[in-house]
Amino acid sequence: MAYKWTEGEARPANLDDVDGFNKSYNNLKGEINGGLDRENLRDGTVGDTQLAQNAFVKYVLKDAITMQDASVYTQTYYDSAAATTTQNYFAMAYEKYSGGWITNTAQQISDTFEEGMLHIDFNCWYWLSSHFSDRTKQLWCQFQITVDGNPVVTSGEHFQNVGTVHLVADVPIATGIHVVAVRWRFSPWLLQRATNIPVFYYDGGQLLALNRYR
Amino acid sequence: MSKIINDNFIAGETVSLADTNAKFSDIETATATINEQNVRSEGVDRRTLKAHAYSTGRMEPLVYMDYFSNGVGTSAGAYNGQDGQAAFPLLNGSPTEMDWTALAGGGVTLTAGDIIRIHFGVFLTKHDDVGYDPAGASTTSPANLSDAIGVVFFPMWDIGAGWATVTNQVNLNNTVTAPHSFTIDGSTNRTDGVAWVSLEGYTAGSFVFPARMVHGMLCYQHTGADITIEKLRIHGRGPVVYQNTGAVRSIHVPVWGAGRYDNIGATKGMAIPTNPGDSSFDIYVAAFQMSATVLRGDS
Repeated sequence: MAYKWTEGEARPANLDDVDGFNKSYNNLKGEINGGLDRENLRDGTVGDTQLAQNAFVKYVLKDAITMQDASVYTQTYYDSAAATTTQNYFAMAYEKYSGGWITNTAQQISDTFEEGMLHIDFNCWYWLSSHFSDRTKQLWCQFQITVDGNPVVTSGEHFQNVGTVHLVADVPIATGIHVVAVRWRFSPWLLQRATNIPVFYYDGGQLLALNRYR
Repeated sequence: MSKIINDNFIAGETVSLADTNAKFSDIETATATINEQNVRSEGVDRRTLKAHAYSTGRMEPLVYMDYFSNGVGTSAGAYNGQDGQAAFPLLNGSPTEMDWTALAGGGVTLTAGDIIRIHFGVFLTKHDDVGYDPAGASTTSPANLSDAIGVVFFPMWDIGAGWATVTNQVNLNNTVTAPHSFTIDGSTNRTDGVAWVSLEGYTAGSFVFPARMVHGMLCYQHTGADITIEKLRIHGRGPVVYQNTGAVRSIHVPVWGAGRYDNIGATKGMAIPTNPGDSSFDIYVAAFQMSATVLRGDS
C-alpha cells in the first residue's frame, strides 16, 4: 500500500520526539526510495519522455524459414501422345516422409522471454502436388505452431496446389527460455504416388515471437 | 540517482534548523528527478500513462501504426492480360496505399532495431481461364500432377526513391521476358513477404471463381542507418510457378500455352491456359487491405 502524505500540525508545547520524527520521515523517505506507484502518481502523467526505450516488449524474428530436409526431385509431365517433359523441384517426397507431424527444429526460436504474453505470428507459402489432372487422389497439408512442444494453434487442412498459411496465437508465459517451432504434415502415402517425386514444399516462412511484458 | 540517502537523528544530539531543512531538501531534490529507482516495480499502469495520438509521434513501444482497406467489398477490379512477365500494383478502389508523407519528417523513421510488421489481405475473385486445373487438362493425360502455379502478392515500399522491394526480399517487381526465373534463397532473395493464391475455383459462366482471400505478412527488422518509410502498397504478379531452374529454387515465369503447358495441336500438354493459342489470364481482384505496425523493443 502506497504511503500517502497527510498534512499535520505540531501541537503547541509539544516537544519533537526523535523517534517520532525519524519514523515519520523514514516513511516518506521509503516511499520516495522506490515505493511510488499509481497511488502517488497523477493519472495521465507518464508520457513518452518518461518511458524507457525497449521497456515494454521483446521480439524475436526468425525469417527465411523453408522446409527442412527437402531435396531435388523430378516430376514428369505428359502430353496426350505420352511424350514427356520433366521438371525439377526442391521439395519433400514420400521416400522421406509417410505421415505425422514434423517439427522444423533447424529454424525454431529458442530465446529467453519475460513473464507476460507471447504473441506469435507465422506466415509461409506452400506448394502441394495436390491431385492428378482427373482430379482424383486429393492430398492435403497442415501447419502447427508449438511453444515448448505444446501445440498452440493448428491450421485447417489446405487442399489447393499453392497457398499461404497464416497462424496467430497468444499464450501466457513465465520468465525463462522458451522454444517456438513450426510443424507441418501432409497426407500419408497413397498407393498411386511414386515415392521419388516431389509432393510438398514450403518457403518464405517468418515466425515472430513478440513478448509483451506483464 | 534520486534515492534519498541520509541518516536518522540520534537521541540526545542537538538538531539545528539547517539539519532539519537538509532532510526535506533531500526529498525536494529527489522528487525533481524521479526515475526508475523511485517507482515501485510495476507501479505504473494504464491509468498513469498519458493519452497519446499517433499523429504526434511515437510512444513507447509503438512507433507508428496505420491501416487501409480499399473499400470495394465484392466489386472486383480487372487486371487483364496477365502472364507473369510484369507485376501490377493493386489500384482498384480507394485508398490503395498507405501514404505517410504528410507526417512530421515526411514519413515514419525506422532506426536500427525497429521492426515493421506488415499484414495484408487480397481477395482473388475470378479469372477467365475456364477449364483451368493446376494439373492440366485430364483430356491430355490423367497422370499429370498439380504444378506449383499461382498468383503472388507482395508488399512494396517507398523509402524516398520510388517503389522498391523491401530489403532482402526477391525483386518480383521487375518486368521480364518469359521464360524467366527469379532465383529465391534465404539471404537476399527471400520470399518472406510473398502470398501465393491458387487459381483453382468453381466455374460459372465465362469465369473461374477462386473467391479466396489470402493473408500475407512481412516482418522487417531494420539494421544500419535510419530510413524513412513514405508509402506502402501491394503488388501482384502471375500466374507464376515455383520450380527449380538448374540447381536453384526459383519463381518462374513460363511461356503460357507452350512447353509443358502447350495448348495447341493434337499432342497438347497440360493446356494452361485452356483455350488453344491463349497465353495470358484476366485476373479480378476485389477487396484488399494492408496494415503496418512499427515497434521498438529488445530483440
